[in-house]
Amino acid sequence: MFVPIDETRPSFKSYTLILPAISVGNVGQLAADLIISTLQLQKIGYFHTDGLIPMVGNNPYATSAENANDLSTNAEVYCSKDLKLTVLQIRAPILQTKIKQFRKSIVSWIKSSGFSKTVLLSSSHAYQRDDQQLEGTPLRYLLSPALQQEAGPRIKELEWREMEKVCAFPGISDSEQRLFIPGGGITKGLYTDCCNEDIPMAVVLMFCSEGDNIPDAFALGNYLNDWLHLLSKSAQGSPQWNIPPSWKLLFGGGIPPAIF
Amino acid sequence: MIQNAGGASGLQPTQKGTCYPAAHPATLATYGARIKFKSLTLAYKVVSGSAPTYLNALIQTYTTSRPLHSSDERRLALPPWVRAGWRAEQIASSVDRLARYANWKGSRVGVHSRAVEEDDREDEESENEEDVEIRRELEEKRKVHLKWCPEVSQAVEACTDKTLLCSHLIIAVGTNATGFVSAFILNSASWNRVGWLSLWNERNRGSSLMNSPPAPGEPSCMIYQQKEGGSVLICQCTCYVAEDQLFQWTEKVFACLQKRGLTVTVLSDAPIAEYKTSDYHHGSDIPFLRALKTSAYKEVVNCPFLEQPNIVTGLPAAVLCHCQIHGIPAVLYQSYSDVISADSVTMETYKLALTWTKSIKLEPPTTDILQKFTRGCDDVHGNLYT
Repeated sequence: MFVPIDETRPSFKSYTLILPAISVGNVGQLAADLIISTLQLQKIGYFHTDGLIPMVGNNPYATSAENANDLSTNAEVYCSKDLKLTVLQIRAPILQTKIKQFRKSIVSWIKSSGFSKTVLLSSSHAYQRDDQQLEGTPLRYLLSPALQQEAGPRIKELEWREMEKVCAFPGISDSEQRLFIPGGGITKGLYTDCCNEDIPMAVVLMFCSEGDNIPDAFALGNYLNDWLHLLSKSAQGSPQWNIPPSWKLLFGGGIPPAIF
Repeated sequence: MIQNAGGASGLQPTQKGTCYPAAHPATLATYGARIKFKSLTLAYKVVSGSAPTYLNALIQTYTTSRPLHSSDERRLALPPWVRAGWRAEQIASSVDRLARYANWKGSRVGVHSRAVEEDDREDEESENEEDVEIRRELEEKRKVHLKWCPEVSQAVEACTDKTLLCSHLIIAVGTNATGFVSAFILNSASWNRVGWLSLWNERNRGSSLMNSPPAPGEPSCMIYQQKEGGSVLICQCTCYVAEDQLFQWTEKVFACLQKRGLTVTVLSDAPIAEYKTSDYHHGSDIPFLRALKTSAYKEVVNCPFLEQPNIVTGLPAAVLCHCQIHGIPAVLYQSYSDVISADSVTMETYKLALTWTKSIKLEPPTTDILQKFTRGCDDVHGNLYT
């Protein structure tokens, strides 16, 4: 359920929604962090749901001492009026027993808000790629039928690769192909829901392994930026992303001096 | 800032979506291997006839009516409760057993990802009526119930919007915080037990009778009210509240409190190992307090705020989320301690947190009382060598 900070409900008509899937390496979430922090999006509300594990902390995108102590929760909505862009950042895992309800609440929010398109940032296990997926770029996309007409030509121009379907029964029969996104969390389910509900949605995903996934987040951010032109490219040809202060100590705290 | 970002996150998501305090992965693997080994040994003993007879009903060898490839593979037959056609009436009586089965299933050790579960989600799409029924029964059993004593429930009923007037709600979670509340506040005898939250989960079997209050010393969520004035409530939570129950817990508690004029203080504790900082903390700095507050909270906070990238999870997080979204002034004081069990030094740190109110008198406890709350918290669970 979307809960706005102000009394007035903001209108998302013809806005683009970006949201991460909780997937391997947290790549989608990290990329969403980059977008929010670089474009300095404004927090406009929360996504209050029993489907996520509760979590709180201080402002992850703090720029000064004044705004450092704004409480942030497990799912928050950020927005830019000029860019007509909304980002839903999800910071906690989804409860296993509530996955279906969670997907349902996301789909109904997208429908009622009237977003022109939804982009799901996701990732998939690199080690599960099949032979055809091993070669070339690790980045893939998927478009729901409702977005095909609008975004299809531009995607073709960019020469993006669509997420390949794999055999349902490898080695037995090649006739049945299915979409397979291991480690992608709700990606496949949400994409299928949007296809069924005629919602314009794009999945932008990357094959990766777990570890330091900051480079993957940059790669996914750049890939998305090629399509949506969220920020202009620098002289070196890549956009200047702004790393949020909350990314520090990603691999733990200081080292006890006593061990040396 | 992502809850499960970084290898050093304090939580280990398990198969059922529950997070437990980080155990060393090697320990988990050992448990997994031990569980597998034990069950395989038992199965072998049953088949070879050397097991106790009461196990024979549980495990049967797989026999075929005609010769098949599988006939000489020494397989086991499916246990009766897995076979198709299992009647729905049996479910209610065996939810307990099922939960155990689910937990056991959940404990298998596989490739672990910090972000997602490895289960193939397609199982879920094709779940049949029986699965839905089981899921519904389990959900019903995991519901959180709030019970008031007769006087308070009368007062709630008498109120037009069925809520209780409360100026301050103090919620204590964790051994040190609950110990502090017991030793410094509740000890003064000016408090009444007025209610409790009854809940059931894999670590908290709860009292068998839903309508009777938990026995003293039993893990529970008790609510206390000040005898005079009665506008201060203390909720002391010593039991484990599972992740899927946290949201419900807060909804249930706040649904029966009047929102206007309410201020919430949460006291909680965490091990120092969960605290991330670039400088290393030395013995003399520990324990220390850190705070988080909702935007509606305008009072002075008596300690530094929790620095990024530190986060808080569990019941304190659920309460703060709820208060932030509903515009209730709330503050969380989290104590970081390097002692595993409750200790008096860590308890003392919370004194700072309660200086805002004149209505609560902190009474320095005697040594005897302190000892009562600091001892007995150090019983070792799941020691491999005992």
